[in-house]
Amino acid sequence: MHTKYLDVFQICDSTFPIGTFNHSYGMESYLRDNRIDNSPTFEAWLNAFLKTQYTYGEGLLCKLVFEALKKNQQDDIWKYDRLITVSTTSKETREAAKLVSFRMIELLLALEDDSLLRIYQEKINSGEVFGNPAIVYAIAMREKDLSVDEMIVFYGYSLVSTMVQNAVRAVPLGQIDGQLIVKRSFDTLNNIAEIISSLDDSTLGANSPGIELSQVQHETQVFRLFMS
Amino acid sequence: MDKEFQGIAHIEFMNREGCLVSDKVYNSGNSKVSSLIDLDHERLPCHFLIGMGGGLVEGEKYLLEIKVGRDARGIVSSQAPTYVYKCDNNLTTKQETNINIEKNGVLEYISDAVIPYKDSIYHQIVDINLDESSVLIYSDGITSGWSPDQKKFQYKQVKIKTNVYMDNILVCSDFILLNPVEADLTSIGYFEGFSNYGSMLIISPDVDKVFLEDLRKNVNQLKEDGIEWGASLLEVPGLSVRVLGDSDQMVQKMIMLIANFSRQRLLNSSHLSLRKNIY
Repeated sequence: MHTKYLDVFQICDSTFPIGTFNHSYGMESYLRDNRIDNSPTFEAWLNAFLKTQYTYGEGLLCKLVFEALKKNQQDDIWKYDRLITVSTTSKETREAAKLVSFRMIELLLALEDDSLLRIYQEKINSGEVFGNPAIVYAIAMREKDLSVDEMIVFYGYSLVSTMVQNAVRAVPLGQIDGQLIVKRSFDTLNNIAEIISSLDDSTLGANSPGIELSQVQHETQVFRLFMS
Repeated sequence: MDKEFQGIAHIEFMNREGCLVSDKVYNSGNSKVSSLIDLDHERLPCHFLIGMGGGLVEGEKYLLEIKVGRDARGIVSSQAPTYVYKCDNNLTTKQETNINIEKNGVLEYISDAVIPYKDSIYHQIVDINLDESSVLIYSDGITSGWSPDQKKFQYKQVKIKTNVYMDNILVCSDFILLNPVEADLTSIGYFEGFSNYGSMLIISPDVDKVFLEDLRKNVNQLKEDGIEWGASLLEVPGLSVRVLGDSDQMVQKMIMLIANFSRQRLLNSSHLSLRKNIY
């Protein structure tokens, strides 16, 4: 009876082995020059990331793909795949999204066959589309009877919990401090879901100078714990 | 004049039997295109864009069209920063720009920053169509704005979206959205204490990993302290640049440094001198 939530928990679990923990989304650039060096500075960065790149990127993608699937307009999904990819400034961040989505599709297909995910996989393999984890997630969740808000906060939660674990290891943060940040992110995620409810595809891919620059600068970082 | 726009500027660059010229230059309303500007080092057609009203007023809409024909080349720059006045009635001030570059065409578009006043709302949409053989060196920028009390980021919203299409396929969308009402833009992830932001696109069949590495080495040797920058490759041969600095002058210097490295390597052209004081 509660299987739909268990299916979501499995995918949104930070231990779901798709390599998300290899990526810092630019956070490591701030670690190296000590602009992130404790719990408050990490949390400030996390909030900025959620309110910019997540809101107008993968968060908004959840909603747009959900609506495209509802209207049975698959071509819109492939359009969003290109739009989100070419509006991501850092090549390393784009490659991270491609890699994570590729592994995510493989793993999901191993758990349960899904004809639309197979189509997405074929299109990625043929170079027709690029691959984005939020699109994979929205496709995989399409028959789980979740609301758009639920999809956005659950996906956001998986990002937050992974990033907090990264920060516990790398900043480092105390475990309790980390969990307090996770807890405080719930209000932010709910606000973001509300903001996204009034957005359309014209704001997909919007970002902020600092978040983009940190991801671009990570590409030239010599000593690194994370791939991006 | 089209009543939809308060100002229209139109410039076409052509190649007439090996001669690089500009043609069909016209302007209307509050927009003005300068006559040909004589560059010190090169014989290239160059025009400056001049805003006649001193700045853009609430709810106004401006159009800029630039066409570069086959094998043609041209330079467009602004004469001064663009001021966007306050929008007390929540009407958005808009700048639309359409750029078309045909086969082997080359455009250098170096603009000054936009300075949004307190309570202004500014949306800028730039659509660039080019061929895979075209070369584009493009820059724009935004500042922390102007306010009577000298406080930073007092504008309501700034949206700057630059779409690049190659053979009608979207290959790059450079999209900055700033909402000072919702977030403290001085903090981490936003302007991070800086007041000026510059963005560039360098697109050419000859931009690759080696070009990017050489650009980084060159710029890092010459750049001033106190400025943050980075460049990353696009999905097509080309790259995108981000600059954060403390003054318009510092950011423009970086942009000219990157533009000059690029034009030397990609176009075998000498240093570009636009004869504005700060360069």
